[in-house]
Amino acid sequence: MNTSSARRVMLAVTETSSLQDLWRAAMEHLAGEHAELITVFVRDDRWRRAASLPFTEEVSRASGGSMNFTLQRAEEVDRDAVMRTQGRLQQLATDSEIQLAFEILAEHEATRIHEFVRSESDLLIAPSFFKGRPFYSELARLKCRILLVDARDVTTEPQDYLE
Amino acid sequence: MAGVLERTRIQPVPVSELRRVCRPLSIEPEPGEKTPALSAYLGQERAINAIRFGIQMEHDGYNVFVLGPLGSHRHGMVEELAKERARAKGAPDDWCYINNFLDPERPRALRLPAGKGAEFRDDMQSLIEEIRLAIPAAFENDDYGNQLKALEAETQKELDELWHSLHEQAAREGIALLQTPTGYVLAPLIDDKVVDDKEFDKLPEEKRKEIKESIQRLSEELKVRIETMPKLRKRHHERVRTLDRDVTAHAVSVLLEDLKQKYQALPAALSYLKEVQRDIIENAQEFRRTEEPALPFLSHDSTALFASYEVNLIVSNEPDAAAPVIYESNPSYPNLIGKVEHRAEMGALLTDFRLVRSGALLQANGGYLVLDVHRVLGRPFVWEALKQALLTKEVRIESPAETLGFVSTTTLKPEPIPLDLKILLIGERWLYYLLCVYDKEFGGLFKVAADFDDDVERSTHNVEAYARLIAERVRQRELMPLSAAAIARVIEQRARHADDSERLSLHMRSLDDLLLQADYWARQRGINHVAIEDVTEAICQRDNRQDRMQKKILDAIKRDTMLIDTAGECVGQVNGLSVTDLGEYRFGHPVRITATTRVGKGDVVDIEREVKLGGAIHSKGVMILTAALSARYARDVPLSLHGSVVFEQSYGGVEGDSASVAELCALLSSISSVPIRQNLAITGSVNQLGRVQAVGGINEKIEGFFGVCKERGLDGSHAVIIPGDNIKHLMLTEEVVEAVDNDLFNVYAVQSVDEAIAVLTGRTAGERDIDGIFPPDTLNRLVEDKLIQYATRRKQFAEAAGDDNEHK
Repeated sequence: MNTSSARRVMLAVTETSSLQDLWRAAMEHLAGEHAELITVFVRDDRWRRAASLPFTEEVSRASGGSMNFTLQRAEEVDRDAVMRTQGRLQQLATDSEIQLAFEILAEHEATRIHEFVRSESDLLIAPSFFKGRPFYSELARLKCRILLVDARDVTTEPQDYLE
Repeated sequence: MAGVLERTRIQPVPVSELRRVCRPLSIEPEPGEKTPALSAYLGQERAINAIRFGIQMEHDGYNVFVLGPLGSHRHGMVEELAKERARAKGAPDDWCYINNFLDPERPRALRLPAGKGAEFRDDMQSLIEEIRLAIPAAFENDDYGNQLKALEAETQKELDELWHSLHEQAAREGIALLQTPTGYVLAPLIDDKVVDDKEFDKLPEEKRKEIKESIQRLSEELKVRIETMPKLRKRHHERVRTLDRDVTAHAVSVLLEDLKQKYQALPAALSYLKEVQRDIIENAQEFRRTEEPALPFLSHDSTALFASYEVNLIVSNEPDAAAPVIYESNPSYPNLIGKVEHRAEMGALLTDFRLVRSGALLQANGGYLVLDVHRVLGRPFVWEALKQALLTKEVRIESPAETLGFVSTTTLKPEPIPLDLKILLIGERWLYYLLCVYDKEFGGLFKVAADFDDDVERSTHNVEAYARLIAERVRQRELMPLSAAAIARVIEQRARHADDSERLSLHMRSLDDLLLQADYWARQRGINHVAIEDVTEAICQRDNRQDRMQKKILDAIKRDTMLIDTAGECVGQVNGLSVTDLGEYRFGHPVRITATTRVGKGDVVDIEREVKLGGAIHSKGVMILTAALSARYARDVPLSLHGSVVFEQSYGGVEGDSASVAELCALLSSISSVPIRQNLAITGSVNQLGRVQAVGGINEKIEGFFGVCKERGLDGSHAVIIPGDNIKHLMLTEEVVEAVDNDLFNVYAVQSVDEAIAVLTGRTAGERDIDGIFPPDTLNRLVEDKLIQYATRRKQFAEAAGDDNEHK
């Protein structure tokens, strides 16, 4: 792992990536009073895509009942995901005593990622499963260092029911 | 006066009978002589026997009412007699309140042998302390931790399998299983990317159908798994609960085994221990909760959890002690019945079985409870509650509001406790009789009346016993000893207190006061014993402290503001005698009684009665003397007299008939126009046959007139006329006796109105001869002649009035 300090660190996250792993990596590379951290939330298009299909339903975890997964519901889920992630990142930033900049990027707006890169010494940290995403091709064209972190996809794990 | 006396043949009362003197008494026992015990019971054999009978009667309703005047020191005697019996009875059982696990609002009563209550309470407290440490320790044990983790891992594994199997199946079929915050979405995947509607429409029909079927099938699988998860969760919790119970049971059983062995012979205690064990095991999870609550004031306090296993000891007795004898000086409802206390917690009032408190009834259970009836009756709800407890033979601890049904909020209802005790009520006679008449339940609950006497016969034996009583009370109060003469003086004063030279007062409070005050005056003189002078001084000083009103009246008489003659003579006017009672002190003084007469319709007007200043007894006395008048004179003609009698310068009300002979003599004087000597005073009541009857306050009355005459100068002519039946009541002061002995004052005793009027007027009353006629020039003749004259005049007036009417 390249541990040299960076003036700007961009942290690419999704609603499914493990924030702890990514944040840890970001803190290791963030050094000096003038270093800045930008978190970029890569919005997942899959909710919109799933909602566009007329036969898609959402099954309730509490009751087992199902209802149509509409575009409106997809936007709601998406919005919840953004807010939840932003809240968690803000908490991490507060605990680390650093300022947090939060940007949202839709997957189909991948080219906007270039706006956040200033120099070659900047660093982009992203979850490793990005490599399998179409979005990754745009990341690979950035003129900065890229660090892929082995952050697990939390949505593949069942929730803890033994409360 | 001697000439008058010769004509009337009335002799003065001998000096020896004016005051019955007591010879000096030695109370020290002779060597070898046993001092009789319990002289405090002197003269109270009837009451003592009644109390003993009541105490020993084991049947229902034989509670005792101890009657007598205040200050007769019945409390001491009652408690002493109760303790006699209590020693033979032995200590009663202890009582506790314990938690009712099935219904905590109804605490249960636990009965244990004397002394075992405290022991059981302490044992339970120790057990709780041990359990408080043992249970958390058992849950902090590695073994428990490991078992719990194993259970969690097992269940988690099942859940993981449920999830992963579905996830893999979906992946195999090219379906993504996405999680939303509230559920799951199944969506088709192509190249690891969720397919949208446009991409889906481009797929072949068959592929689309296959995707839909997969999603449908996976959706059903998903629902089955969702339904399975709560079941898994529930099963997991049950497993954990079972584990907790097993761990708790093991920890508790070890600790309880010893206690169960100890209390094996006490089934009630053993049963409670088993209930405690069961409850602890059932609530095991409550005891292992360790995380702190979100809000500080909701802190998890293990003390409260274990508190339900405590024992509330409400009655505790020593095993070797006697049965309890309790005197409750403040028999308020909670002090007598008991109460349920509350504690304030976050603005609410809370309670539980630990806050039940016993009252005097339970404290005396198995023994004796002494109460003052006027205090019991004077406090709200107490009398009814006491009767209720005696009738039901149990004590139910609840507030009066609950008893009356005024409380609708939830509160404790402790199990009633059986009651077995004897009540000894102490009160005045009038209260006893009122209760007998107006309370129908009273007679069935208090079947024994112990009637304390006010005085005792002044026999030689009793005088000696009284002297010993005095000596005992001196010793009890640690006072200086009394000389023989002082004791004699005290005994004389006790006869005076009894208003009877042949009786001795048994009012102990006044005896104690006299002894205390005599002791004080002796100490003031700096001597080491109480002499007769000190007793006399105590009596004088006490009178001086209270005689302000008496002195005021004497002063008014002296200054002629209140008109009283002590010399000369006057028609229709006589010195009567009155007693003013101020409670602890009373005194006598003369009052002028006047009478007027004229022709009339035969009525004698009692002016006091007319203006409602005369009481019923006084009015009765006037009616009797009127009847005596009409029965004695001119019986063949209608009584044609109009008379009126009054107590002059009296504005405060008159009661009693002790002046009726004076009133009759005033009337006779007025009718006959024969004057009455004003250097004499008279007291006594008269019956319809002219018999003079005894009255009360005789000593004060004589001394009252003596005081006035002494103030003006005694000349040997002054005297008081009293009923002959009052001679035995005379205990006059030494000053009066000395004056009589020196011929400066006299006391005459009469049996009839004739004797009284003869002394008052100096004229023979006269007796009817064989023809029924009074001798001439006798007072009775003069009265009868005047009454016949009135009758004749009245007839003349009536006839004249009738003629006038005819002519109109």
